[in-house]
Amino acid sequence: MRRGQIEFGESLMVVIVLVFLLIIGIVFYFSATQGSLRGEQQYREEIESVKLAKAVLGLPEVRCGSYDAAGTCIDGLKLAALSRMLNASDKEFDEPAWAYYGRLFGYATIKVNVPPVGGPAEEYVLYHDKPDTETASSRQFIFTTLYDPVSETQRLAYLNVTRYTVVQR
Amino acid sequence: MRRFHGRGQHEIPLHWIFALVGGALFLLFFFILIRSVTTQHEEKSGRDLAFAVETIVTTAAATPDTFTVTDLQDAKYAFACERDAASFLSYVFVEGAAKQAKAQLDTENLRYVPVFSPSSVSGDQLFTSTRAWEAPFPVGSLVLLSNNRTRYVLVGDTRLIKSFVEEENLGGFDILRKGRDAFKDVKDEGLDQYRFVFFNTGFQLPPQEFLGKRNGALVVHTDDNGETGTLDFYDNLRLGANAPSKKGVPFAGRALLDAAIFSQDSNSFDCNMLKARERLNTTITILQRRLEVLGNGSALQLKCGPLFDEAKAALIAYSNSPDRAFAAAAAGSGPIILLSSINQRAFAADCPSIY
Repeated sequence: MRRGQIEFGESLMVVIVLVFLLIIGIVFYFSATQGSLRGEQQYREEIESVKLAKAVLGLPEVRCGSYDAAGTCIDGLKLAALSRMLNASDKEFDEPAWAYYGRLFGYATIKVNVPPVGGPAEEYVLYHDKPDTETASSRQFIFTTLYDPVSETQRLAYLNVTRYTVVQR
Repeated sequence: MRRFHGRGQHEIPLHWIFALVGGALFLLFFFILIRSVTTQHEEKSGRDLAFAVETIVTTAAATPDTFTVTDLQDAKYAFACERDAASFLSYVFVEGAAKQAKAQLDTENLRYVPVFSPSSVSGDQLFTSTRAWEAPFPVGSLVLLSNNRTRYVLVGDTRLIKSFVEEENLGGFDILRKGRDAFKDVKDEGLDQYRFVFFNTGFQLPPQEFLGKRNGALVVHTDDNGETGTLDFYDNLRLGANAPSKKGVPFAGRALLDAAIFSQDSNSFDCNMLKARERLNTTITILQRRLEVLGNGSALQLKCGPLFDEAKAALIAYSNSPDRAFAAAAAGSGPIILLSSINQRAFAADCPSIY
């Protein structure tokens, strides 16, 4: 083989290696960007679930009235009434209310759990809507109290909010 | 020698071509990389800012009776509530001062939060205050939003102005109390916006320097310290605009008065109030069912039954015509006033509250 041909081949190899390195660089850069976007998305999902839990606790529809126990307690009877409107399969199910709160809460499961302290454990499902497709979920717990306006007693409870996000393929 | 010369003729141009191709590829790669990084940074900055503002507004709604000052990046924040027959469009738009980063956030979250604010606020701070709208039971949270570049000039009944600023914890906002002196010593200090509020006094057109710039005015008529009354809106003040844009809007509850004061105009007030009123019917239904449970077979029935029945009737009248109930409350009667009275009687009789 002539020397000129060898040097031409060497130069060609240098260009090929350069192009190969550039392609690796581009692939690495875009995968890093994708990873960063996924991280940002995950961070936002966490924040959204905190916002949802705070929003539920702040709902005047379930909060105690100003004449009742002070603080951010949940009125047991209001909770039961809203829960029946959103979950019952009978005439108590309220279609417009479901449409309204369905848009407000999105894909989520919202429960109020009463731990077995000073009485039996109880669980109230306020709202449940989980998509059929594959989902990612983030969960938040906020401690509060559940107020019974008949007996005028309060029990320790926690708001258990799970927010679902449809996984994009 | 001829041989070397002949080889050089071939090799030198070929190396230059390779160097040029390689260099061009490198330059292209770094050009794309820098451009992509810059664009992504600006987009992310805008998105983060819009998300931060949305988070501030939505979390403020969950914590009533608070006043918060939040430091943000210097930018122009625009808030809008538009509505058609079917739904609302509610968004925050952020325009970065430094990098022209723009982001619009139109989320379901904002669609449910009544935000009363100027149409846009510039600067690096946001002031938020949250009011629980009680009519008479809590219906929702109203978020008041402004900053230190929007001034509220309060004119008229000094006693009412004093109670309004002090009781409502609005001292953090840029408020100028003028009492009956109206526009004496009031100068345009180059702020973004001025809003004039006349308490129990007639509308007066502000000096010419305040006309335009989307400045507005509100006239408040109230006989009971701002609890109920009517409102006249004067949107977009301009020369010769002495007639109200909207007159005699009834209000019940101090929160509604605050909301009207902080609204850009009557359209913005109406749009956000419709968001707040969406919850009213559900809340009434929940209270009705709560009363049924309280009364059914309970030991309380004997003592509190008549009060519960009276409250049920008032709630039915309220749900049948909320607008009539608001107008009646402004006149000191109707189901809203009655429910408040029943709740106080229930408390006095050691019965559970009605709401």
